[in-house]
Amino acid sequence: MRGAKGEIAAVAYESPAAEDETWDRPATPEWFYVVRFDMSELWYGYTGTTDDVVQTEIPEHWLQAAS
Amino acid sequence: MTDHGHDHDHDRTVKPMVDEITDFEVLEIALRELCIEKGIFTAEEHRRFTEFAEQIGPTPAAHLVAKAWLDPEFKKLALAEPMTASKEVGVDWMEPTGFGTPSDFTAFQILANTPTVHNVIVCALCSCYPRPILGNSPEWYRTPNYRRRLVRWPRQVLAEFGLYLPDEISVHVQDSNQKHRFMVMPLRPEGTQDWTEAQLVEIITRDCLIGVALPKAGVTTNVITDTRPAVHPGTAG
Repeated sequence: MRGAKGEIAAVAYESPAAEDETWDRPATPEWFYVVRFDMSELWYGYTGTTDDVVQTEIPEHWLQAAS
Repeated sequence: MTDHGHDHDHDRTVKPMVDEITDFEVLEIALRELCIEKGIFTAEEHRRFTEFAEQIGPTPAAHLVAKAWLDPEFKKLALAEPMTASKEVGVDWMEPTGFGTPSDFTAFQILANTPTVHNVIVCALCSCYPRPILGNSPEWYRTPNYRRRLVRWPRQVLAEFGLYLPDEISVHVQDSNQKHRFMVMPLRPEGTQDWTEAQLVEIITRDCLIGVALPKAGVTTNVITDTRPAVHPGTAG
């Protein structure tokens, strides 16, 4: 998903990021988003339809506004 | 005690089996024994919890879907307030075990299929699953085979489960890689007119709630249980 362009499907909840919570690092809660990606854009050589999507959940600090 | 007299043939004796314990089993035992030692829980509490966790199944979720099919208001509730709807089928996401352990996983969402959208769930990261309402996940759900391939080749993987979707239906793969948990609400199939909730529950199988199968009148199980008697060549004929 790195560098991929997606669309926010929903705002989820606030939580410390899992990777920080696990290792007991200082972690302030941040917003989590359900992000939708078009499979035909995301994957090279995708053989399904252009309406197929994958949705996954990402904490805010991994997201960047698309230009 | 008895002398090892040679009344057996070493060449035809099975060597002793080596039973190797995995690192994770060692970790589990260590952690459990430490918790018991520190009084965090007793051995009996642990046993009761294990027994509870292993008997949860998909029946509450099947009832939730059947109720939604029979009552449009309940369907609206299930989609808007899934935790409330879950309580109505006996599952409390805030206290899923009833043992007083509060849950961190309260972001539960029900994904409704439509005539043009088919939902299917996966956890690409590990194999998270909505256990409080579906019970334990199937073995295949936990394999990298499923987790890595469903997000990349969903239609091919669904075809391997015998589910072929036409192009008019788009596939929505939902990855539950953080604190959200999901289940699928499939569409009510044909041939179920005037069915009671109990009849509908029978065809809403675990695989339908994951999204790798569709409910069908007459199909009440994910497993083929018809068997044929074994053939013994030595005694046949």
